[in-house]
Amino acid sequence: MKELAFFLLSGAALGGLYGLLALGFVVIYKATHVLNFAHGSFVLLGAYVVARFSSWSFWGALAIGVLVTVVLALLAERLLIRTMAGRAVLSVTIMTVGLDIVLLTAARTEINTQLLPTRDPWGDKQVVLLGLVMPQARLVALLVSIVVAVSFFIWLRYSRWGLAFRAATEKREAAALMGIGLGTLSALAWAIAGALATVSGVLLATYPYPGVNLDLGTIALAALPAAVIGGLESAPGAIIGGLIVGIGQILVQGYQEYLTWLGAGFHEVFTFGLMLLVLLVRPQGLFGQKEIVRA
Amino acid sequence: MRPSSLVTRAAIGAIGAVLTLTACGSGGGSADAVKAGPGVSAHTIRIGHLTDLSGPFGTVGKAFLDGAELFVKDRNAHGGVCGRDLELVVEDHGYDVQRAVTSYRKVKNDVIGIESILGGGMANALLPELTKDKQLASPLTWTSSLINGGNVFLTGATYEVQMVNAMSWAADNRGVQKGDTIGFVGLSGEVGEAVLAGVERVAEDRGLKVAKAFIAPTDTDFTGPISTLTKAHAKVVAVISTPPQLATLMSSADSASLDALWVGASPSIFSPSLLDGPAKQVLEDNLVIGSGQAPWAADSKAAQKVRDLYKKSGSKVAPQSSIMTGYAQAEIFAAVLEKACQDGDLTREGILKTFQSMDPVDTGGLVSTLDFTRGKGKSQSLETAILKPTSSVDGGLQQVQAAFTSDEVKNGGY
Amino acid sequence: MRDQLRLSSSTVVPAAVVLILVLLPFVLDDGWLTVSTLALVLGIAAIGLSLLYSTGQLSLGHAFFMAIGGYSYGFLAAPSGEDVLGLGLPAPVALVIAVATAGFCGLLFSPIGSRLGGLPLAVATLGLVFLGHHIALNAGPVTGGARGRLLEPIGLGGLVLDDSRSLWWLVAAVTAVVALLAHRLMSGRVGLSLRALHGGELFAGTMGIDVRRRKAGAFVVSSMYAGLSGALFSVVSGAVVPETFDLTLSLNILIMIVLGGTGLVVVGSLVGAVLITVLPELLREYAGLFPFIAPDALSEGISPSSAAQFVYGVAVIAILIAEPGGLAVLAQRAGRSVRRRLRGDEHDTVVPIADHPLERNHT
Repeated sequence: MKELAFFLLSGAALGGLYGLLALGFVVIYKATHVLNFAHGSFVLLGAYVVARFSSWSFWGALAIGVLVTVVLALLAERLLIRTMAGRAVLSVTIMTVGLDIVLLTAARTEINTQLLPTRDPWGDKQVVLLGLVMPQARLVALLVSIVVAVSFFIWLRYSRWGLAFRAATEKREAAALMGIGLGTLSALAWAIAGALATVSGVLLATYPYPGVNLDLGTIALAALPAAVIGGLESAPGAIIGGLIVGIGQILVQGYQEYLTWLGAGFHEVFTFGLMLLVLLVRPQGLFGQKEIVRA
Repeated sequence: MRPSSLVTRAAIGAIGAVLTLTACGSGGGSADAVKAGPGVSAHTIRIGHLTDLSGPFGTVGKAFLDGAELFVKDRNAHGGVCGRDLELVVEDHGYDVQRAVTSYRKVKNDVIGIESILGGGMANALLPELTKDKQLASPLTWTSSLINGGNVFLTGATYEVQMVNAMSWAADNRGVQKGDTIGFVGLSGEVGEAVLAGVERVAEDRGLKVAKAFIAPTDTDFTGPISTLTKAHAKVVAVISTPPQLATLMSSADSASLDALWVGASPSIFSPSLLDGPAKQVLEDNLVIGSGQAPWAADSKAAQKVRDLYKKSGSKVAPQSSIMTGYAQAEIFAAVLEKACQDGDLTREGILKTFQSMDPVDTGGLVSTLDFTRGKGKSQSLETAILKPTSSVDGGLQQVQAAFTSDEVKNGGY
Repeated sequence: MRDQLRLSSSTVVPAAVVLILVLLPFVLDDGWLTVSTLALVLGIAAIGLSLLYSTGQLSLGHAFFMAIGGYSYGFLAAPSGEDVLGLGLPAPVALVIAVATAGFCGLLFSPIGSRLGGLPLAVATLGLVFLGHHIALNAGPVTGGARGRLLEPIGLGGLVLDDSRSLWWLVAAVTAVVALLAHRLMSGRVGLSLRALHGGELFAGTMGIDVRRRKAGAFVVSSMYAGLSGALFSVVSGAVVPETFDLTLSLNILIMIVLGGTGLVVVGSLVGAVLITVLPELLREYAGLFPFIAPDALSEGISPSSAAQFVYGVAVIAILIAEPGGLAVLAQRAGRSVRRRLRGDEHDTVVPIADHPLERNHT
């Protein structure tokens, strides 16, 4: 029983991380219907910048890291995405694949074998929650993702820009007619995704993970099923999808001795299998909106 | 359009191609009347080196290559092989099977053998063709399925043998008794399966239970596996993972107060940079690695020679045991070529004939002594040394137990 | 008189193509010939994906269907071995059954294709790749597990096809056949209805086209192309290992069809396949000649392979920005203006299909 509780708690923490990563995909998809395959390299670059400056001050370094990825995201949006206005979203999506290759190659040349600790304030401290011992950093990850999700949700519902964001993403043509700058919207979405990338990256690299290294660049894709399960256009869906995936993965991996008939390493496929199942029942994801096609 | 001109051009191209091929393949007559195959001319012997320099294993690929180049330069400065200069023909396949197949076909008529192949999938895919082409080849993956008794050598014992040796040592070290549990945490795949087989062998011989958990390359959280191990009170845990995952696993184990000795299946799971991070203490205290390859800081004449050559070359590659292994691999390959030269036959067939009946090759401890005559599927070495991480030496690893063969391996039919 | 002497492009181009296909092995060495052979093999998969995309369905799981084809062929054609089972059927039979198996799997998956649209389907199919990898590793007796399976060279009526040249001619012949098939499919009634689908499913539905059936059919055909490609890939490599059929492969084929041009299903796919396969090889081979690139991987500075990858990524971005219709359209435009200058008229121009109008980048 205690083991199950521990799995649930750890799974929730991992799920929080997945949720943050998934949110990065969802924000851009919601605003532009483009899947940003370069998100993983943003995560890596943001975390790397933070780790580089963290010996001076962690919070200062975090600010710098966020600034760098936001600027990079805005540059990408303006120079690359904007010039492809009016083109098919598939082309733009493939372009992000090209961008990912470029960024990862640059990262590989720069980072190489380095492993940089994040020097975050939570270090390797443990925390006792309901009788269960957990790394403090992981708990922080969970809390941060919840806070970010709730803030985003409130922003969408109640702030002026948030309202514009929602309006534009749900009724694109109407929004354009009303003069809401779709270009600004796209830039905003990319900037938010950039900031999320750095935060996700730093949290991924905290204890018990040893630090920022090249492997971080390819972890982001593992969060795609979470985004899809939640519904690619739903911000709360991304977080909840993340939690489902995180908890599910920990449970399957934890009880794998009872699941050997599914084959070794099943937990990796599990997330995608779960995603397929959800899609069969609800193609728009748990919180997505069904696309209404009016004749 | 004039069809005839196209045909003429094609014909000229074809004739040219045929002439070039014959010129390359003839090997050139040499003064000392050694029969020569492709890649062997009067002044050079070309050998292939298929590796990953830009993909997921790029950093370790560069280290292996660096070692090989250190050997080749030094050997050429001392007369080369069979009076000829050795030349490495390097191809980067980026850990992609398609590119590996293409790379091999690009160089195959140009070289007398393939001195190194990095990547299990690549080696598996290329093995039939390498055998058909009668190329002597040395993959950098220590799985027994690659040893076909004819044209392949591995620079050390197979993973299974290493694990039996290492787990046996660790079990003695920790006073593991009958009925206790030992653990396995590893990536699924060929290597993971081989490592698990070694663990299960030791368990069977000693009457132990096995708690096992498979992990995936993108895993960053190991709550499940650690819980499995803690529940079972595993005293010794075999591990095969990426370096960051190793640190995460051991840190998580520490948090869960799991008191176990972790046994790494190969130096590849370790990276010296891990000792700069939060896991330093726990790695130094609780990890050992079973290895057939010398660590960078090894206390032998051969290792010192490599270190001297490395310093002189001004190489930018970080010091690590893979450089030693790369050096040794080239050294062994050259030894086979040299013997074939003495036997008067440097054709592919001649080299294989020499190889299959050669005396064991000794690299002065850089890798285990290899015996090529043991036959198909039989590990070419039965020895393992035990290494321990420490930040006090370059390369981060030092030897705590000289190469040995455990009883389980001696009696195990390996 | 002038009309009789003037050769129209509809005879010159195919004739030139056939000549190139036949004579290439005499001009290229083993390595480059293998590169070219693999380019065609992947081109077959690309044609399949492009066919699928023309119905508005996007799949990132193409590598999965290629794996089905490759492993099925391995199981059917190779004899039983140490740890693996095999049926040892003759190569052509095994090939046909392998393709059919892939098509059948496509049929099983097609309902999902109908229910999902656009990028959600893409992510769903992404899951197939990982599922396929998992099955490949665990279904040891059939797939050879992590080690994979070895294949015997193809024997066709006494001839053994195990050298680069015969493999090239085999692949070239098969590619030509399936390319023609696809071309006829797209230019016939089926193609018209597929293009109507492209203009909007609702619209197509009102025209009496059974949207669900067409989309499912496209999925089946596309999977068959992928299966054929996977089987041929195994034949050319001589072995089938799990590492081959990964996400990168799916992405590469997708890049091929987008760069080549999704509007021209056959030509675009083949152009894209050749580009994506050959360009990186060329870059790797000659990148060292550039002054600011290090001569080899160990020297200071950017290594040739890193530079090659960098250029590859930049090329993908640049081509997409410059010409959304892909290279095929670029080449067509160039060819048209050349021809116009030579003859002053406009024969044999193919108008590319516009991108899906309902899915546009609205920035």
